[in-house]
Amino acid sequence: MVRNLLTTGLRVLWKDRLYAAINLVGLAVAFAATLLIALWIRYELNWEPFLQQPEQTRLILAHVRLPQNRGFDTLSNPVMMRAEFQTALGDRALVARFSDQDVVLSVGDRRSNEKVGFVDPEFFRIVTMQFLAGDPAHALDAPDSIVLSESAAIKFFGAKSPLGETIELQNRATARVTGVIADPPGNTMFRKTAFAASLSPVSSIQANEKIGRWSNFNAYELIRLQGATEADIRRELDRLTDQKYPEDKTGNSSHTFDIVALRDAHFVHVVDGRASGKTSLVTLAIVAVLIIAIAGVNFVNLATARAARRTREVGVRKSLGATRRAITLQLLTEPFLLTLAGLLLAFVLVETALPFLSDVLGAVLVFSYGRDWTLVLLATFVALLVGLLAGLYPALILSRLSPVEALRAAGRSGGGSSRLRQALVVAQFAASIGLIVVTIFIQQQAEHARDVNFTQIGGDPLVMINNLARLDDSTRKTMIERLNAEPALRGATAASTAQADTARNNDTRDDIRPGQQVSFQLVSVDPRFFPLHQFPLLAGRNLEAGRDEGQNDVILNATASKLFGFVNPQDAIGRSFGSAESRLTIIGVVPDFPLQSARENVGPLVFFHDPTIFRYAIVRVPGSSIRPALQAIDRIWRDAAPTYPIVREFADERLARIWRATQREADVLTGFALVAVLIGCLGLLGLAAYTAERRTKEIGIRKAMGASTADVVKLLVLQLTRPVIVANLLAWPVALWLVQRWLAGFADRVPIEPWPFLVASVGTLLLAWTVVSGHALAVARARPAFALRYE
Amino acid sequence: MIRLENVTKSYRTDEVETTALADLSLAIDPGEFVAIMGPSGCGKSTLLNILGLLDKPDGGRMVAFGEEVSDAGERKLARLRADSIGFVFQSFNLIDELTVEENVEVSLLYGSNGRSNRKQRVADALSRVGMAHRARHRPQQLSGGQQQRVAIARAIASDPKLILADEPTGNLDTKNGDDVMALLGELNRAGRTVVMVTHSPDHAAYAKRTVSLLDGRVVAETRNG
Repeated sequence: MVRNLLTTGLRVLWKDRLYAAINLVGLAVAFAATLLIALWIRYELNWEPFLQQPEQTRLILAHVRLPQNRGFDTLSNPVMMRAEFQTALGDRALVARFSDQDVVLSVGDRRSNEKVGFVDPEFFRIVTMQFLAGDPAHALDAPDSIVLSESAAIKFFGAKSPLGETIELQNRATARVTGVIADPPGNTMFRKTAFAASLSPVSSIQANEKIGRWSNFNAYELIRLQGATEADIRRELDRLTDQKYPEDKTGNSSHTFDIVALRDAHFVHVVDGRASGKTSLVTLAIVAVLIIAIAGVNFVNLATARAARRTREVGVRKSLGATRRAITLQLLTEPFLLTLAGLLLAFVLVETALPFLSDVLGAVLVFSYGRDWTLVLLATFVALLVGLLAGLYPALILSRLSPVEALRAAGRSGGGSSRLRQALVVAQFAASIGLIVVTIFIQQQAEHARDVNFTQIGGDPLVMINNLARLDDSTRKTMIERLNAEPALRGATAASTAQADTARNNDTRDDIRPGQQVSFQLVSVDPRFFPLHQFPLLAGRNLEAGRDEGQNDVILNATASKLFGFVNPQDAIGRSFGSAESRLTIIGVVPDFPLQSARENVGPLVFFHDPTIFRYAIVRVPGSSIRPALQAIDRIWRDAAPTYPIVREFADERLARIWRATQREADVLTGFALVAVLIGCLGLLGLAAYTAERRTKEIGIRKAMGASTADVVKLLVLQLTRPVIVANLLAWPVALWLVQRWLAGFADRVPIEPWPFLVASVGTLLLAWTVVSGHALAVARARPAFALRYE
Repeated sequence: MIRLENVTKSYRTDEVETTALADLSLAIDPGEFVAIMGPSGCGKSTLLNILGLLDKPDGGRMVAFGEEVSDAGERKLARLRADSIGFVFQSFNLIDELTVEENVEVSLLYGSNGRSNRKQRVADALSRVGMAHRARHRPQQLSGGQQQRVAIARAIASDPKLILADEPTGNLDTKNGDDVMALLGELNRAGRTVVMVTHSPDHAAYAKRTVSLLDGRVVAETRNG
């Protein structure tokens, strides 16, 4: 019995090879794409994989809103928060701070810039990373202790055990190695070379503790609940808002906090400066569902269409005594065989594509049948479900027919379900069109955001030196002067912030507009900043070396000029605000340009000249001779600051690095959307073949009546055009809504133009035409006598 | 009207080659009513397909409606079919998805008829075969005899010079078969040329001339009445 079922099933599939191949490829690609997306989503949802009690581990997210300013969201919090929590929660919670800094580590003459996390002693009991040596509970108890990652240990100490060895931090302090951890995996926020005690003199936590300002947000606040509840933390946070930010009650500023599961925290920070949800993951999940739905619909569609051909076989079998159950079973065998084969092929595809996808995403995705048995089981279940849906309808309808009915119905085409089939085709096209439209906008926005940032560079390449803050004031000054005087270079400037920097220096004043608080970002720039970037002045004059240094003279950007109450930039020039000790005198206005990130609005900026807080040197190098220019930069740095390795980067590379993640996501999304469209096309191809075949008789009649080949092709192609047009009408409003929602998350966004909609529509139509016209042409060309004999 | 000279036609499958027509010559004159008879497989339907320009002969000459068509292009054949030939099939060959009047209209779509002209012709043809009252029905809602009358209406709607009927009564009972034959006889008396394939000697008697085929050759020709 089973053998008979299998052989018939396999023979039916072999007889309709094209149909079987279309379904197999469609199903396999769909299953593979969905599995890959599932793996990716799981990777993203399983950050900090080493956490022993992920459900007990929290992080504080701060929302800061300042008057007249967009404000910011940050996972960093005031460093004094930890003491408050410890007092309030006692031993019902472990609390530790984390702050990462670029630090020069040196052992003997081995010296390099490393990312170091400064943390409290409890850190490793909260963030339970794997220790290869040392005691996680007490490794960082002493202020001069440091824990190295395995690769850092090898880098600095080679094969010998580093425990007890000393290492120099920032040429200022010495630390003793008290532990070695396994290198952190790709999906953790704590991917650092080393972790040092927060009490180290180099630690910024230490420095900020001394300053003691609740308006400074510098360190992550990590909490592991040990009896305390989220409500306890909430209560404490509300109290802090109340007591530490009295200005919230009077002004229009606000400081509020949220509690975030550590595992979800990376979602919060992927977007600089702005907390964002899991939008791209949700989009991906939707795409996965659409892909499976499209492939499933295709399969069901083709299977039901095909089933009509087997009416005669059913009639014969029934007249030979087959029961209804036997017929149902038999008609279900074929779709089950196909879906299971599709699934097997999908596993092969997943294994082939996984390394490639991991590479593109910069993530390590793994798939193992043993460990991921739930996923395998789920995939099998979905495959069987698709098979059941595809087989059940025809199986039930056909098995119900009496043998006579079945034999009589054999010649007729199935008219009843053709409307359902049309509806399914429309739905499928609508999904494809919607996906294309949304992807075009995502791509456009990703490119736009990058381009806006890139345009700022303009002309010859810019090189950014990142660790200017290391140097003392006089060294910094000579460094910039020497870079400027160097004939191999095209000029240099310096600033307190730069592209892709997330640090902000905000100021709020009430002496600028009567009765109003006004917030803006303060940026210290060297006078050559504007000319070097080729930003023109809208009004007034530039800062001048010597004349404005340390003075109150400032330049506003256009937004700040408006915010200060000037309709015309010209009106701002020469105006002064504030009392003698904190006076601002406006000497110039520059146009708005994205200072740090295109995702954010260009807020009000106030530029002044204070070389003591410069953190970046920006050097323009001649594009024609980059190598000697870089050598000159390195030489000048080495001469002036021999103890610090230089950290430099091309501005465009720096930007590209920042945007790579966004662009990568957009690319992968585009890839999967294309897969969905392709699967849709495969289904269409099958359906076209079926329709053409089913209509052979009709075409024969029409040709006997004198229809030419062109007439017949037109007929078949037009018949297909209608569902595509209906699909467009359905897809456009939904796509528009989705795009509007998605773009709302960006400050500087691309306009919603009609062309992506037209491209998607015309594209799908052309694709559909191409897919069907081959079949239409073949059928239309056949001699009418042949077509009619088909009966 | 149509003249075949030494026409041959054979079919190939993977294994065998079947000769359907062997060196066949035949002339159909305007106003004739010709019945083609013979056992199954003698080439009747092949001959009719070739007469109707649905299929091309492998060899020999063919002249139809004053034009050499032995090696005419698809476009020319389609035009000749649309303008000059009407078909009636054994299994009616109506399109299930279209109504009766839409089915009849199909024969006018590919000629040079305007929309209102088409409506008029469809109505005329349907009333000539007595099916005007069923214009909006679907083929499945009609009996076999009614379906065949619709098929005849379709064949005459474009006012063709030649009507080709492939066993038009084969799927009908005696009563309906006789009605259809009467209709074809009437059309012939009104001046149309009719060529019909049939198994039934009774129905062949309606024709003025009977051509008998065997193994792809004309073996006998008889004039009736």
